[in-house]
Amino acid sequence: MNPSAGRAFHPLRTMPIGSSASSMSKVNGRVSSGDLSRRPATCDAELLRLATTDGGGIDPELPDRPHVWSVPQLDAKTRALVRLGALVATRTRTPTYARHVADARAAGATDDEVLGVLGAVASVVGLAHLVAATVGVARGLGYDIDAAFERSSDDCVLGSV
Amino acid sequence: LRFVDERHEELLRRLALNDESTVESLLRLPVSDPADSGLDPRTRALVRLAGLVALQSSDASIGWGVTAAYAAGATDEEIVGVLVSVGPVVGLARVNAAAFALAAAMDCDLDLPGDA
Repeated sequence: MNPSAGRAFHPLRTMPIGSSASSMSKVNGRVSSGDLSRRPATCDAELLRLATTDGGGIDPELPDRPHVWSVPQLDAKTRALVRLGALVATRTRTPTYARHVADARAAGATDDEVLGVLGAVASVVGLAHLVAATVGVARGLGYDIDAAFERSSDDCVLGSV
Repeated sequence: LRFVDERHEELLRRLALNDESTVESLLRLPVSDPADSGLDPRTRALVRLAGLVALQSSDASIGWGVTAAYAAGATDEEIVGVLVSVGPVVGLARVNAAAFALAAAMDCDLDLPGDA
């Protein structure tokens, strides 16, 4: 398997979009991509993309396929805020928040509402998750929290609740 | 059974049932809705339910979240919509686990084999 550079890769579909199973060998009835130790350079790029964005190729929307029943949907803004609340609860890595905060703002959420998510889940997730999430959400809002930490180090008693 | 002090037993019972006032006094965090939360009460309740689903909370906690969402004016469509919306973030296992608890809280009989 040697996907051409720039070809979209969808982790959920297990193979690069555009490639066909015929390009892979079949071993014991299973499709094999060959020697796993010879990792294509695109894997490194893909890992970086998955680690630094929100899963990169993973479509945050439901798969676009016809349903025989209608799937309940929230309006775009509520959906983005609800997802943000779930993210806080999963204690995801800081960079992941950026995209979801951007999604919420693009859907019309105000900064007040984005911060309101932290308040809404505070009692449910507890202080540790809340503090961890705050840095990610602040950066997602474009707030330079590192500078704020430096400014406040002199006159703020950290740890007091 | 080992004898457990009545007070301890009562506290455990209240926590297991997700008793709001007990949780509030222990966490020292407001569980009920403050006026200046930044979100309207309905959205706030839905966001909190998303947090409960993501944490794979107990049936009692999810039941509490669903009841609060109904009280804040959320519809069945919106409550199930929370489950659908957080799917890509929390994964299938948590969505599946929460589906049972949500159904129970919504007084909805899934009529599954082996399910009492």
